[in-house]
Amino acid sequence: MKYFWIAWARFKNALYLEYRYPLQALMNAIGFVLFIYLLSIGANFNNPNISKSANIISVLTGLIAAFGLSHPLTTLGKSKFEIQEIYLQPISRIKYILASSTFFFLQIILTFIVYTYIIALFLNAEIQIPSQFLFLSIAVYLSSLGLGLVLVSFRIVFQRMGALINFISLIFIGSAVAANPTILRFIANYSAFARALLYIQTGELSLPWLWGLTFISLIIGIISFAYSEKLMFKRALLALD
Amino acid sequence: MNKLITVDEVIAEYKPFGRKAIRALNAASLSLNSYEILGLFGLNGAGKTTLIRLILGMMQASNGKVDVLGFSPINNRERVLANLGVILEGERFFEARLKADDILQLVGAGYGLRPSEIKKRADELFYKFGLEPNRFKLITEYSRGMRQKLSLILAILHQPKILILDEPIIALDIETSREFMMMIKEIADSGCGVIISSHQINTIAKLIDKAVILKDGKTIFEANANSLIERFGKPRFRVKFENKVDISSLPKGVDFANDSFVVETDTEISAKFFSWAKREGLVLDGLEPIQDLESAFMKINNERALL
Repeated sequence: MKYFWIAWARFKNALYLEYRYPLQALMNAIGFVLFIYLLSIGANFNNPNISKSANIISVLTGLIAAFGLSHPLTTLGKSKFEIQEIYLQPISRIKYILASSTFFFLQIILTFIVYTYIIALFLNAEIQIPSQFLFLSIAVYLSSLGLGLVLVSFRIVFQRMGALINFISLIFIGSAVAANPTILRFIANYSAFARALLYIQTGELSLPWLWGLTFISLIIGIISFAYSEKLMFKRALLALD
Repeated sequence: MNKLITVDEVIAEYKPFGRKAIRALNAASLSLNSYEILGLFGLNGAGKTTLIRLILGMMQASNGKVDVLGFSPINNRERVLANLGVILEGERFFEARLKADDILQLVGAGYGLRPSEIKKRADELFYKFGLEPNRFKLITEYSRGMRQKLSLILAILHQPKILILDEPIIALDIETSREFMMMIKEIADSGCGVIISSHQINTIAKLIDKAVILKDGKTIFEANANSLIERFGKPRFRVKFENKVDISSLPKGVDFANDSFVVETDTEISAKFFSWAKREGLVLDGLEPIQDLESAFMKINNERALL
């Protein structure tokens, strides 16, 4: 329950920020819709054999993966002081990140569904949000959360990680726009994200593979983060900036 | 009085990758009991903040023992932190675009408090600290003093057994510092053990029961604060005169501020000072000894350097 209340308080604060700075929220929304719109046009151009609806959903899946990737770093904080503040509280960081990701996921998935309908309207596409897509997006989000935990492990140990998260996010989005089924079939053996894209583009679905890859990614992330924390305490790296 | 913290002969190092390890503590020790206020002093780089980080379980000691409420903080972080209230490096980190009350809800949840409990505690603390009118204001609208008071509210929200304050009055004016000190005293009187690390030694001198002095990562003094003054404090006294004073011919080495003079005893200076006062025809109005922890600190710090 403790982690539910923390996640709820954090989520509520995120909503307050949107509410208190409405112009900023509006500009972000407009910018984001335009961004998804342009990516969707690009995806339609690259993959004309696939329906417009599937291309839009592929783009959104890429964005969900990018959000999952950055969530651990956003939650833990970017500066030394933000990270320190988390470590002053009697909480498990892994549980905190996972709990807050639940509300964050709900926020982005609901936002994306609204955006999808808006963009479908622009592109004159008949859009359907299949329940299976919602299900897939959970797997994609969790698997990239695992990768995000690996990356945040680098952050707490080495203090710097440059624009690595941004680059990987671009790879996710680029794959959603440009990858075709042949490439995806190959990568799908190693990535839950590629497997989800393959399903969206071709309808091929192997749930055990998808969830297996998701859990492996998440477990690698958790182990990597737990080990990095130990290393961080042992080498007194938390104080360094 | 219960023993709350024991740090015994601790060695600690920062070991960043690709850089040389830095030894920050080399045989540092301290102990804290309930109802006690401990002043942790040392020049920059003496190891005060590192010692605090060890107590908070934010780093692991290479050697020695750290015991907080009977637990090792590094192996029982959650249990230890649940009983600790902290202000590190002046103040807590706040998301500036939030309101004070929102931040309290978030931090309180981290301590396992339910929203209703947080609200009850918040009502009490905002009122007590005089921040009630500003409770629903954004942090951007808070002054430095208000932010430090809010940091203290966050630190005691969960009614900790130990309060650790690293430079809590940095950048506060005299009035606010005094008010802040009164609040800390009140907290200690309720049974909480308090550690204050500060460079403003004289400001917190009246507050502390015990002083610990660190130098180059080593504890060079740990005892009752008064015994530190008695043993190492430079004996000085404050003198006031009834007459208006012309200080143009005041002997060198005598300080003058707020209509009073601060003079060292048993020195050539004090002899010169009284001859000067006699020459000027000044009538004595008051004379009091000064308890000066800062000069005691400087003396012990310099003496140990020569050892």
